[in-house]
Amino acid sequence: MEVGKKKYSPFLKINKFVVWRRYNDKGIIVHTRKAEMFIVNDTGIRIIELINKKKELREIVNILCMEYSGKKESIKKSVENFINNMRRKGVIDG
Amino acid sequence: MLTLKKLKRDGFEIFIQGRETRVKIEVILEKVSVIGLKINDFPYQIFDEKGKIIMRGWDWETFKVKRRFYVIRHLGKAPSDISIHNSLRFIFALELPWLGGFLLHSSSAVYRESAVCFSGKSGAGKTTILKISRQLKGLDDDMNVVLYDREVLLYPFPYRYGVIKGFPLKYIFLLRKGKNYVREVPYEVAMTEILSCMPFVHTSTSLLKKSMEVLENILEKIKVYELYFLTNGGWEEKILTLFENQ
Repeated sequence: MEVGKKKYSPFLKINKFVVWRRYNDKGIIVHTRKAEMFIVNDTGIRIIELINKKKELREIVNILCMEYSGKKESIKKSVENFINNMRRKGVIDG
Repeated sequence: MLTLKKLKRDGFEIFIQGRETRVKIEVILEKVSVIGLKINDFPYQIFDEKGKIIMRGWDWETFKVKRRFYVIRHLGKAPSDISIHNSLRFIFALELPWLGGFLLHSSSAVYRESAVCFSGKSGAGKTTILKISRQLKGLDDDMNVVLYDREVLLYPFPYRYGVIKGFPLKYIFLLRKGKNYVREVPYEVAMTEILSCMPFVHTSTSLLKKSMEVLENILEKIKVYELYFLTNGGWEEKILTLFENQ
């Protein structure tokens, strides 16, 4: 995946200091080292679940396209934004 | 019952005895001539030294030797009250999740032998609400032990040696400033807000996971509300209504 000039690996990983849980259609993500906590929506926690299942970005987008309605390009952009946001917060490595 | 008992030799014991829980946590005091790295934050700092979590103050440090066994090292003749209080918080925070409970930064009060808890960050009004309360009897304005033992119990934090009685915990209120009313909060909001008021749970991922598990169990048994309150009264009736309607 490419954002701006920075290139990222397609292999995503949840940081080892992160604990997450799904509660119905919401998710809680906690970074223990940063002592930061986030509530994410259904799609956000689904992305975390898929990363946890060692899915690559391309696979995540394909799965979400089947599960949610919307154009593939738009879903891809949303997934990339979410992943980049989580990278900045230290939740996702890679 | 929660008991803090002084030992003949230097140290104390914490007993937690309920219907199903029967636990002893031993704490030994050790006078030393040198403490590790100097701290930058008053009154303490948490260090992770090769996976060993240490709470360190200016002239004392507390660490876990093994499950339910801790050491407080101190430089002076005897450890200060502040070192004992902070160490106790640290010990409770690390041990309680494995016993089905947690330490909660909150104030608490009793109404007809049942407890309620007011949680929120500094400045939310935890102490104020106890001061302005007319019908609730204040228990602790800063820290409380929540423990599941066939029912959810609340114990005020043990600052002194002796026996402390637990009360069945009925409600946790997340404090908000505003016109008096109560409303149930979404599950994930209750989870995050209560977790953020549990001291030291972020020190390890295993402790956090366990704490989340315990909180999930406790949230199945008690209700969490947002309590919007004004200091000129009217909020207490909202709480009493909940008791009447339960």
